[in-house]
Amino acid sequence: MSILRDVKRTLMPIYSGLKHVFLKPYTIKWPYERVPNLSDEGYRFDPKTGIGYPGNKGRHLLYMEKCTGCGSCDLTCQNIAEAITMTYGFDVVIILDENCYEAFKGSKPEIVKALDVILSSFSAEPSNIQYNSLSSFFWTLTGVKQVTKVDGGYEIKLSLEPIFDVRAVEVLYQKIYPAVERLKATGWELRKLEVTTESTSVELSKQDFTINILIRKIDMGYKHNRRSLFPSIDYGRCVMCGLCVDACPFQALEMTSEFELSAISRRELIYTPTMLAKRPEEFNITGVPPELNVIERMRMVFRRIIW
Amino acid sequence: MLFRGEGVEVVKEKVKSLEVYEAGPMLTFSMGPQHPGTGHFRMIITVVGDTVVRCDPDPGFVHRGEEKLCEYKTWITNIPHLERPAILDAAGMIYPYVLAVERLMDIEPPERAKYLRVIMAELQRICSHLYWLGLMGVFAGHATIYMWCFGDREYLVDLTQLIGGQRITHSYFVPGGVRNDAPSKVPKELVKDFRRYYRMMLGKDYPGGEVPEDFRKYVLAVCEFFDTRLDEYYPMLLDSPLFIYRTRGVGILKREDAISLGVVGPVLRGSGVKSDTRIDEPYDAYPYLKFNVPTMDGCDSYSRIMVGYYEMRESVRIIKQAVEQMPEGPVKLKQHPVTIKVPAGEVFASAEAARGQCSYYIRSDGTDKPYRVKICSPSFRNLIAIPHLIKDVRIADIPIIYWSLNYWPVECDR
Repeated sequence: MSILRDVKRTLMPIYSGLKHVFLKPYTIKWPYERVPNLSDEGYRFDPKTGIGYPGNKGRHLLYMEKCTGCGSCDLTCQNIAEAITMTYGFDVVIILDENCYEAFKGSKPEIVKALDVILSSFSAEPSNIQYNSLSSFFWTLTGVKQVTKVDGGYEIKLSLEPIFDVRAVEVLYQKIYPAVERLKATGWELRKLEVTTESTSVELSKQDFTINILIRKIDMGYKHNRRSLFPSIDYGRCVMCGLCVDACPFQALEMTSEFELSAISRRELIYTPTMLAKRPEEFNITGVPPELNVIERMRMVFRRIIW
Repeated sequence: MLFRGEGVEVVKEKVKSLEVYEAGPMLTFSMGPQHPGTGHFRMIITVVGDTVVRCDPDPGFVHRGEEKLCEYKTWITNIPHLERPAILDAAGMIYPYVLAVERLMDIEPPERAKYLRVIMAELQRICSHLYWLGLMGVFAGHATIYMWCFGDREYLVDLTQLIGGQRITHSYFVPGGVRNDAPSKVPKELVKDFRRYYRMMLGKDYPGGEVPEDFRKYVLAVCEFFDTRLDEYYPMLLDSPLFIYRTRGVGILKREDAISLGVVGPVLRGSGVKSDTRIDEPYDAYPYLKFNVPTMDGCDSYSRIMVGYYEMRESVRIIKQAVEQMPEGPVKLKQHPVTIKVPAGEVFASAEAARGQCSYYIRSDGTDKPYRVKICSPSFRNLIAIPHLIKDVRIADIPIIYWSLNYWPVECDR
């Protein structure tokens, strides 16, 4: 009898497994289908009661109109993941004086070459990238975005969006010094060099031509945040504990349910304040990939119905 | 050469007396550190033929210096990194820390927070045990139970996500309560999805048609479902003669040995010792809840895995009671969210994590950072059983014995 019982016990698992062959399968085909366990609520914190609201701890959402740049979130994160850095928004412009601009229009070789040197320096990959640190954003600027007339010359904007960085001097080290060194070799002279935390200005001249390179802080125009200081978050380091949300006394930081934060390079994982201020639906990174053909899309739609 | 105080001849004689194989040349090799099961851990194994005569565990590949880190971070910001040693069982790992800090500060969390903590800890205990049971199936060559365990685990992990905001490492417990209340409603999509899964796994519709959206009722529904699933695990794996032949009588840790070696958790209870921190030194809401401490007298791998299986049952019972008894009210004392003041002094606290008793010794000098934090994790205490158990066994039995201890290298190395 014991042999019979053993045979029965051996066959039972096969029977219980076999039952499932005829049942409806359960597989979520990501990314064509979404994981359904997410509520739209993100984690928030109420400083009055000192208790948070339940929600998903995904990517942060920054309310720029509430943020005062106090740096509480930065201070908290320094003890956890060092993912948050307070950053200024910078504007990169090249100012050519009248002479210079006319010569540039007449495509005078030395002016064209000088501009080329400066622009290529801004678009080049930085030489020393500190991958594991937020101390410098290794951004690149490609080409001229806007030219406007200002008094005393013409202003060439290299970026319409503000560039976020810890301090202006980083730009000087990484982008401007190499260009200045190369220009000096071709007879240009460094007239003026002013460096503060909030701005950098370099004046180069040769004969009666003058080129100014300016990195200046943008005033975002928020009354409560005169310094225009906002947090940037490196998602390569963030552990999503949400303690920065707790630390914010003005409810300026929240978390959203967006969790698909993968990127191709580490640079893309650093979210600037303007990116953080966007709601997840504005990002629009989710959804069916466009490379899917019509038949596959149809199959995805009908799969649920057929089975 | 590995036998201190014993000549090779003596060992050969010993091996001969086993009459398994004829004593041949000894061979020493490493099992790991790539993956002797899970995580980075190495066992230096000496064999004669197919018989293991000695096993030297070599931990420390994933040592991160958690204890030293604690001295540089503040009381609250210690919480996220202290969860990392056992990410499956973050609540069990952080529980004694929070209890210890509360004892130092001489504060008592609100009643609701106590119940929420218990629910969270028990949910993660089930998640951890399901991982254990599922991988036990893999180690014994049984793939179906692995799929089942991980499929069912999903809905319990979702519950922890609804409460804590993340799938693992929620940073949910803080000294003085928990960080947020449980939600009142469960998202519709999740309820729909659970209904679909219920129909798929059990082959019938959810009784009454609609799965409730209310959080309390939804937790009860998931518990009910999981209890039914546990019934199906028994004939699938645990009653199967093939599994029993692999595990019964393998890796015997006698009752006296278990006590003298000082092992904890399911390993100790699998040797017939009824010891559980939740009963012996009750904390938070555990005194108000009724549950048993399952023990087995087999003292072998099978007993240990069965203790884990019965513990999941008990955890489901605890969650059901806790959800029903949970009072309304605040979940956290009024205090600064990030900076808390802890008076000087020293304290010792322990709690029952999924793998056994986890203890913390903390000394404070009254500043915003701990002076010293010492962690005694359950895996560290079970490590000593490995050279004791993996001896005079076949090579094929090593994975079974190793995994029956539910050993987690990161938790051990800290």
